[in-house]
Amino acid sequence: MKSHHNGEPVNKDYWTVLPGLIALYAIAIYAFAATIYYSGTSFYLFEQRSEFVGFQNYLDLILWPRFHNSLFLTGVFCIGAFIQLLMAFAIALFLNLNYKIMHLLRAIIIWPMVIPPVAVGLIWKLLLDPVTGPLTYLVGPFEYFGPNTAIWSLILIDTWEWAPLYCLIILAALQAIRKEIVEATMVDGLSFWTKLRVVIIPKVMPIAILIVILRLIDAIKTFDIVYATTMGGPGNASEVISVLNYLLVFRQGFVGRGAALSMITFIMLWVIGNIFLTIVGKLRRG
Amino acid sequence: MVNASKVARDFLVNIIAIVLLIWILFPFYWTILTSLKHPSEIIRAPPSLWVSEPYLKNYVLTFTNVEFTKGLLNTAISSISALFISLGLAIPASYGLARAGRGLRIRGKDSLYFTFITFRMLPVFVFIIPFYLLYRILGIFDTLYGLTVAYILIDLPLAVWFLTSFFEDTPWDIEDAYMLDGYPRYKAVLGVTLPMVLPGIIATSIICIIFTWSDLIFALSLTSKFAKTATYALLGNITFTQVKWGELCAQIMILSLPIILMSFYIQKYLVKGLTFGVVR
Repeated sequence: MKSHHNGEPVNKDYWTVLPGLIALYAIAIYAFAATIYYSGTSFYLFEQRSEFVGFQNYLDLILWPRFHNSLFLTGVFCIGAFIQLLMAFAIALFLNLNYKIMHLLRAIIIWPMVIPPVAVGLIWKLLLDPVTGPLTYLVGPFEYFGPNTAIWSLILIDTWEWAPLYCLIILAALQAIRKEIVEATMVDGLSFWTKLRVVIIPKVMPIAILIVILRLIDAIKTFDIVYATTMGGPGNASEVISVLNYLLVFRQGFVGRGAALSMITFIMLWVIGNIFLTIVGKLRRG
Repeated sequence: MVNASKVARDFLVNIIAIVLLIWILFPFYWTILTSLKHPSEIIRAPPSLWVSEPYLKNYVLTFTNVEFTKGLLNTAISSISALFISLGLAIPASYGLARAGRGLRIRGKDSLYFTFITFRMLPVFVFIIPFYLLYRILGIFDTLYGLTVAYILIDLPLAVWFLTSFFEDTPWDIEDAYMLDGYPRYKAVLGVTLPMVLPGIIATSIICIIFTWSDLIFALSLTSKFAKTATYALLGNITFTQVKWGELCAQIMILSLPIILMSFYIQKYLVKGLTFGVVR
């Protein structure tokens, strides 16, 4: 069947992939070279002065409380994202029930995540308004975007926006796994715990890890909803990494330090991303 | 007894389902409601949960608001141009990747595939900072050209990510049979494989449009006035002295309605594509 390929050069078919790959690489190589270069300079946007400072920006960042604060808040956000997944799992189990109302739920559950995240942020800013928001009916006036509450409100907003997607993925995974597990549990003579350990967990675990990492990457990249609601405030109370990076470069003009921050974020995401892709590779192969 | 517990169970399930429905839908309801409220009613505390006389002027003002309408046009132009360029690059790439080792001689398939996907995982600022500085030098800062290039960066990895798993699902026998009959590959692909993947291509296009349509960070950093997008224009309703909530909510509705309608089509593709075909 593949005889028509005989005698042709091995690399001939790369032309299909190359244009896209070259386009991306051209952009990426320039972007990385430039970012690394700027991260080694004292480039200040509003005066266009710049000198080479080596690793100074990285050192400054590592010792900078505002950076620690943003790392901490991003960490909190990631923990929030993890709790979100547990909720998504519970809801997915629920959606898996055979009731008519589930069809309606499954149809609309996608809405929060298809509308622009900035719109999500603005809608919730309105909903959580301390005075005119509808929640004042239930709980009375409450400052949802105060110094101690802002990050939690943002996690709530993020949950509304993204939990549905993970519900859908987990739901699909449950339906795919269920068949195999039903077949496997037909094997007699195994105790429930053995089945759980030998059959169910190995099936569920890889997909669970895949989902957790996918969620983690998005949580680290969160920008829009924070920018739309608090812009990192009050003070620095909700200043996650990406918001700090934006403000640093475009408000304060510290391009050098901003570039260094984006490289640090890159390394974090690269490590997580590689773990992720290794798992995906294993899953795709078998 | 059995019947009673079934009734109780049904009741409980429906209650939980209704709570979930309210949780998902209430923010939308509140947006529509606010978009129909008179400005004086919006700032009333406690707020009213219903509006007896819809104030449609918010929508009229939205369509006469040049910043927003131009933003919509900018969003549409840059999203669609980026989509077409990305599809032009992503369709052959995904075909090649899906067919690697099954008729096409491409080695290192997985690492090539992952190279594309890695781009979705990179922090945007690695691109935004150099783009911003380069755009200023090249004079394409605040232009739709510059924005389109940035949007290709969103679309292309996403399109390869989704399309590869859709191509992988396509049976190859018919294409192979065509080629054995002497048709060249491109004819077999155009005549047989592409029509089979078409629903997947449409779903991928919708997903790409949703992502670029929703973009804020690229627009915020790479445009300022002329090429401002609709999402960026939303923020224009917020000033130091006041927030024009009524108009803002009307704009959100106009911006969101088309994508909510499109979302009905993509649901099943979204899950499959996002999980690399691992979850079907």
